Amino acid sequence: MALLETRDLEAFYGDFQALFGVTISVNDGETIAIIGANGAGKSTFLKTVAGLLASGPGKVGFAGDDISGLPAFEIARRGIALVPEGRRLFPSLSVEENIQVGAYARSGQWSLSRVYELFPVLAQRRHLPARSLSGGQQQMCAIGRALMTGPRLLMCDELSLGLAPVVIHDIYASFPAIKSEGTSVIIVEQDIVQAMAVADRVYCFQEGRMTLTGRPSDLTRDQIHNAYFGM
Amino acid sequence: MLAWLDTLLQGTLLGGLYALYATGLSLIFGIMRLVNLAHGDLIVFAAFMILVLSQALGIDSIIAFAIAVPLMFAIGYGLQAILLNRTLGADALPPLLVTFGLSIIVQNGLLETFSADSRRLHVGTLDASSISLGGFAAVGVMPLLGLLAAVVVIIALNQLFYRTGLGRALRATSDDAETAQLMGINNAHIYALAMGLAMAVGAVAAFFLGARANFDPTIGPARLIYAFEAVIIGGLGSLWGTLAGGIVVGVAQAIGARINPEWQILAGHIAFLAILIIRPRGLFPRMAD
Repeated sequence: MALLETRDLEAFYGDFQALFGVTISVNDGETIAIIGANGAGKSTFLKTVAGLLASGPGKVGFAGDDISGLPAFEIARRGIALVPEGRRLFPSLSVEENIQVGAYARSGQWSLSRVYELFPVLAQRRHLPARSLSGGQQQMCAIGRALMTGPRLLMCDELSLGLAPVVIHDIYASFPAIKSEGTSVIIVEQDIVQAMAVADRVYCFQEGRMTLTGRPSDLTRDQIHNAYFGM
Repeated sequence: MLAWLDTLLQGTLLGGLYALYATGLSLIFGIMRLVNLAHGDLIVFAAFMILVLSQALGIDSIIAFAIAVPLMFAIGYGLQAILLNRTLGADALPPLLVTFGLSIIVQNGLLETFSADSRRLHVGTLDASSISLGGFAAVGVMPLLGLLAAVVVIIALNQLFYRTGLGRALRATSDDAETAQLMGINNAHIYALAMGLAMAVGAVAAFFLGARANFDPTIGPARLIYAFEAVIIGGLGSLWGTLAGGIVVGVAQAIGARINPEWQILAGHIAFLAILIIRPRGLFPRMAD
């Protein structure tokens, strides 16, 4: 049985429909990449699964339960964590407090010391305000914060956006440790090469619809190009 | 000279009471950006609650006060959970209108129940007790306890905010309510807890209000204005700033009253306007927003 399963998922911003019948599944321990151009609906999909956006018709199933329509805090408590686009750290909290706040409602396999082990640079800056961190360090802090919620599914929205290649490499280097806990991962990326390198399976979105799926090794450059741009 | 020192001292003690009025207001504005226009009336409501508990149960006002604190917490929690959470959103107007309506309901409900007669909370020998300061001045025990209570309340709230998981959740929700939900934080519950805390502090303010001077159902709006002035002078979101703001208003009123008793209230408002002109973000703004 899939850990996460969406069936004919739809989402709206007011009258504007942003997702059209999206059906995907994520298995235990699997890493999924969702790729697509700007405005394809990738982030909307993650927000809908996380409960930040009200879902229309369609269902979201997680660990065998129907979680469609549950509030975001309840979905987080069930084990779905979202690292939001732009990191969105709490600016008045220190780095350490940002990480600790993740454990407010749920404890799991991750502790403060384990997060510092994963991202040693955060330990050195633990007492600084989160807003004083560099972009890459903020991303690490946001991932650490999400891990502290004890997720079974970690969803990362545009991890590499605005970051230097060497920083992106450091962040993706943390994924094996995260996956070793059995955590499933969904990565939303515009950097196709990076996404294909870490994913077990890929979904391509275009204008709110899922247009292609498969294992990275099975997909051709032309197939991805067509699904990405609709050509 | 000594008379002026006495004036400053009495103003500072009065400022402690104003800080108690203002702390709850500052707390809920800081966490949920809600301006509670019924805050002053709810403090007066708490003062009547202490009075009624004391008379109905035949107990000392201090014991009635100890019972009123958790009761007001529960009322605050319920008020937020049932009513005010529904008004929160991008538009600041609905909570303003609803709390304005609540202010009218509370004030008229108290008038209807208790009439416009003035009341007082009696605290036995503490009523008239004072400490002599070497002949030049004397400090009333209750006003001094009021200032100490303000300091204790602010220390306790700061400990809560900066030393506990709940405090982190309150501050995280204040920073970014949507992202806080991703941490499993139920915003509606957090807001209700914040209002509960504000009302519990309101009960402390009510006790010192009633023990220091007479009160009646109509004095809530004036307490709200003093509280507003203290919060804004101190800088939004800073509890120590709120204490400083309360003391500034209290000292200004005491100086005004010393010059001419009719100038007491006016002097407080002038001090508020002057600081607003010089430092529009208050004396101790929390951070550069």
